[in-house]
Amino acid sequence: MCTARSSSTLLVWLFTSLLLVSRADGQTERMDFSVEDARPLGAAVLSLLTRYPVVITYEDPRYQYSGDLQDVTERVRRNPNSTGKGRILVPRGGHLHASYEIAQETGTPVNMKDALNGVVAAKNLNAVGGRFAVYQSGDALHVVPVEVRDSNGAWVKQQSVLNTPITLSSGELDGYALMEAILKEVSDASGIKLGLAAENVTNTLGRYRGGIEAADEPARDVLLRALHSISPRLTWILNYDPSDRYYFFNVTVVAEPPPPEVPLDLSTLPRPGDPTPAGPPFRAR
Amino acid sequence: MTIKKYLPAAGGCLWVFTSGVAIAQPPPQCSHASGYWTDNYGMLWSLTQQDVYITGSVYTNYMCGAPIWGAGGSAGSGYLSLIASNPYWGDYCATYFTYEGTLWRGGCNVASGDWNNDYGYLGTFVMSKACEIPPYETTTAGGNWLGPHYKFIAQVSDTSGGNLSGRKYRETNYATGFDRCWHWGSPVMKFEGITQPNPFNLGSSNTYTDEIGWGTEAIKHYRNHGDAPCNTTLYQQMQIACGAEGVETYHYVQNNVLVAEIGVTTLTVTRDGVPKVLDPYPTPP
Repeated sequence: MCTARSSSTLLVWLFTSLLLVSRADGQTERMDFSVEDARPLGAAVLSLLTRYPVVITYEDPRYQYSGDLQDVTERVRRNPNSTGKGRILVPRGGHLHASYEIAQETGTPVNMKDALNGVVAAKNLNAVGGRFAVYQSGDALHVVPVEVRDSNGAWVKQQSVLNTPITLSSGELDGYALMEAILKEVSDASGIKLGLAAENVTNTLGRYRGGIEAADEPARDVLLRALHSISPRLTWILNYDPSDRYYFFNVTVVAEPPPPEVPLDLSTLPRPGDPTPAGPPFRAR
Repeated sequence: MTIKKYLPAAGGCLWVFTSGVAIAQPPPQCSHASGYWTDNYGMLWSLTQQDVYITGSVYTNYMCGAPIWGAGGSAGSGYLSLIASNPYWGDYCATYFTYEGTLWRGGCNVASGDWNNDYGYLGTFVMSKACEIPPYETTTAGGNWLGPHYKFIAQVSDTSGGNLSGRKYRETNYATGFDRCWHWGSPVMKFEGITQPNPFNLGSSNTYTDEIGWGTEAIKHYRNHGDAPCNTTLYQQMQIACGAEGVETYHYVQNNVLVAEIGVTTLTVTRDGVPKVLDPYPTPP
């Protein structure tokens, strides 16, 4: 079903990520990071969270300026005579290059928030696709849009849709229905639709049963709490669809944390001379 | 000498949340103890289980009148209860001793607890046996649609004649899949693998459900953008745990090819060559 796009086009368009490591001093190294994507910052965040066990969320801006978008209808529509309607607009995106410091011993960023701030600062040098900021809540880092160009190309402030306060009492639901219920509440409260895309974690959501209660609480906090009640490794990539003007709440999974080292409890091992269940003293072998 | 052992991060602190209500069903417990066990006193147990009742023998490895003692007891719902009787009364060994303890979830091949004997001695025991690794599983024709997802039922083979209750099981990817619905700039993230941060415990039926398929928002998006029919192919590997929960390791059981197709008016999901079609499946509003 991929015939509508030639492989040579794909080669140019495919998300590429290049990581180069250079030694800076005895304890740290610089990690060079390069991506080419319609959402370069989103791709960078995805790359970071699948590489390191840190919860990072990403949210697209609601694009308004034609210079931030591109019409890819002819290039990506597979079945021009099918039920497809309207033009397919996607973020123009582009190239993002950044670097951050990693500890030699652990191979992880010396300071994840600093690393992320560096990546976001590098993105913000390019006007295409809006400007972003990093917020922290607890152990989670949130990359959210703060400015976007309006339809005339002038910069305007933009509030994150997940700042919207919501109130709900979900009752007991499976994880899928729980996330849908929260997103519906956010959609209703903000007037901006958010749909769930969680195909890769269907079983994780489906096997969970639980509920959530929130009273006039930022949607971001409610969503994070709900996801982390299902698994502390879940996070989201919130992509905006400029064609249909709504968000896709993509649920994804951060890297598995390394197991903590704990001493083995040797107190249950018998020592020579200890009594044994059968009677005679224990003999070392 | 320091012996280090690794425990995976449970992330327990991250599970605490303030106003949400998490309702968790207790996972199934280990209930089968057939096999050859070795304990921390060097004793070798040969046990056979029918329902909850255990019969067998234990080689005490001590200079008693008879080194092989009769054994009996019971196991089920995570407990193990054994009694070993000395057939040669009158020697300087104990007449009997008992083991009361826990069969540990995960691999169900580790047990620990307390012992005592008729001499009045008591202590603790740890015992383990070779881990049973099922040679295959079978995707059955049963199951049901849950919205656009199909819940397949899989039967895990059992070579011990008992059951796999309490065994941890998980899905991972043996290769990167190929999402033929995704296009450059798509707000729906590529669906090219499954991620399961929470392994689950098998029940006594040795079956489990596997929910597979696209979500309603992705179906709507790809149909409305003229991408249907299109599909994704995923390469799923099922793995089973060995060892006590918390220090378990995972072992290969079977690879399954999964295909999820968005038709123009239908949905098709295939697991391990078993196809299921939902016809028609109207585009969600």
